[in-house]
Amino acid sequence: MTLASRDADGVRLITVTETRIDAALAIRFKDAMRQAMAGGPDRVVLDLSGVSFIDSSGLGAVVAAMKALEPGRRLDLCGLGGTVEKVFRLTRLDTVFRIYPNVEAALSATDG
Amino acid sequence: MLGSLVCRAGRGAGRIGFRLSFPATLGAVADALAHVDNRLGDMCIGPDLRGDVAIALGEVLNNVAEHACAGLAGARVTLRGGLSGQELWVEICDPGRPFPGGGLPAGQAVDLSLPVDALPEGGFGWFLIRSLTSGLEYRRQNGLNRLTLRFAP
Repeated sequence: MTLASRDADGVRLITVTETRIDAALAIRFKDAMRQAMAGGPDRVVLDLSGVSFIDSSGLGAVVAAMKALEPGRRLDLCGLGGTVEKVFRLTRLDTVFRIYPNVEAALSATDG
Repeated sequence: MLGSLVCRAGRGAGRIGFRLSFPATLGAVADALAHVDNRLGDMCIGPDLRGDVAIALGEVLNNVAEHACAGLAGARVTLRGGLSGQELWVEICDPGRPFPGGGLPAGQAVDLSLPVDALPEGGFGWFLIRSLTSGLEYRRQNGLNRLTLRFAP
């Protein structure tokens, strides 16, 4: 599991380069997220636009990544499409995260 | 969603089904889902319903690999699917342990009204399966689990 990571406008932007976050990859995703989030700006944005499938283990891994952040830091999401958007909506996890349509909207958000 | 104008399986689509068998391991799930997705495409099933099948079937196959068949060397899953009238069905058959208590999990929604530190990192699976299917049937037969997922068009 590889994640691309860069800092832009005071945000640690992490891009998932796999097309799936599923049970077979969830533990590696969690580990990669911890590394990618470490030492960055307070706000982290996870770009899921390249992900076409996420299952309950993948959802749990995204929640785990948020919980792994130090107090005062925050994980937002962007680029949820198709079935990914649907599982976040069905589980109501879309109410737990701030979700933006794309990277540009996430980076220009001024609501916190 | 049925009846697409451009569909390779236009004639007699309702009789077309699929069957496949693969190891009951997490590593085999992605390929199995891709195979089913292709077959459903051949059967003129639209992308929204194919997505629902992938989510629900993926959760079932994860559970088979991680719970029912965990530690059972050589265990294989057999999938069958087809259309019954307008309704799509997929049967998952595995030689693993039966469901605890003999019945399917309730799949209640996860409580998200908790502080971030206390949010659950699992428990979404059966809720998704129940949310996306129109019917579920489970029977234990000759040492096999047979679970049928039904999807309304």
